[in-house]
Amino acid sequence: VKDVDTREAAFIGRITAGITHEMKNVLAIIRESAGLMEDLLSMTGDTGFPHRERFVRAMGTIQAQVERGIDLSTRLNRLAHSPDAPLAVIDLNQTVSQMALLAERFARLRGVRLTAAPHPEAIRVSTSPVRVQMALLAGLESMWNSMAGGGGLTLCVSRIGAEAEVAIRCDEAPAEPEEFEKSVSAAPERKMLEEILADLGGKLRWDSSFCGHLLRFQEHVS
Amino acid sequence: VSGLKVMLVDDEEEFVKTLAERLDIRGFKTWVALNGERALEILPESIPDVMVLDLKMPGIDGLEVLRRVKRRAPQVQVIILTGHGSEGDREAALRLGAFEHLQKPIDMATLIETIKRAHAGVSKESEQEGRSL
Repeated sequence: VKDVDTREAAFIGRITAGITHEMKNVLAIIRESAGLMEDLLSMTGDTGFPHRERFVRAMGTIQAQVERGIDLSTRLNRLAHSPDAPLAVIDLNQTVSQMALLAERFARLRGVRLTAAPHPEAIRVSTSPVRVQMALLAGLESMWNSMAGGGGLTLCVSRIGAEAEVAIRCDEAPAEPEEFEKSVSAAPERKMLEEILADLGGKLRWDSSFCGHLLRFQEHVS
Repeated sequence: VSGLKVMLVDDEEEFVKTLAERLDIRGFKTWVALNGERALEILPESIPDVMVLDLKMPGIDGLEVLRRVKRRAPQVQVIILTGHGSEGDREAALRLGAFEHLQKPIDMATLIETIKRAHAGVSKESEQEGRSL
């Protein structure tokens, strides 16, 4: 079954990666066309166009959204390439930054802000890139599903001795920390997180001091 | 940049023609080839100062175009501009003599600055080294 799963993930990844390349081409065309319109406008002079200010503002919006689209396409492309190798050496900093961006919409629907706090140095782990991302999303979901009033969650990467650690923690302490922990522990996503971490040979525990999950992996030594 | 000759090679017609128009506005002299075969065909009579080249195109791909351009007209500086940027492609392009490897979409100021440096034969690294001296 795992072999079939791997091939299915690789198939979906390959198709998605191809589409993200095309999306980048589409964004490049929009960007250049908007840029050309700005160029032409700048050639008309200050008084040659009655709605100049509104036009420039709208062009600015297009450019900003293109930048957003490029960022999302780049992240989606990296996610799509995740199944290329069932096992690979990944930098947890990049993985959490990517997850914070890709899961941002799901979090926003729950009224939750997501932040990534990478370590200043690369923290490498030899693991399954797909499963680590699944673990992070399961950890996030188990928490934001228990945050009725919304709030903020931070994915924080650190090095503890020879181990790499990702903390998924609440930015503000919950009003009732024990109830919150009970609710998170009972969530089906927490069970999934436990299973994935066990499969990856990682460790999982709840840290009451900041109300969140601690995921630990053996750091890769090259 | 007045009159600096730039050949743009890309199969995304809307993209490459718009890019050429924007460079023309800024004083470059540009022409477009929509595939690798066409770029190599017009190269002998239209040798540019700088070529901006996509990697993934139908027919002859960008790396092969780069290889042949460097053999036939080694003075042409080639900038790779691609949306398909794997690290392996980047290394291969630089090994074959590409001046720079840029990702699509590109900021116009960055592209112009890279074209100017390519024309002057000044890589980013040597420019930074010069500044730090």
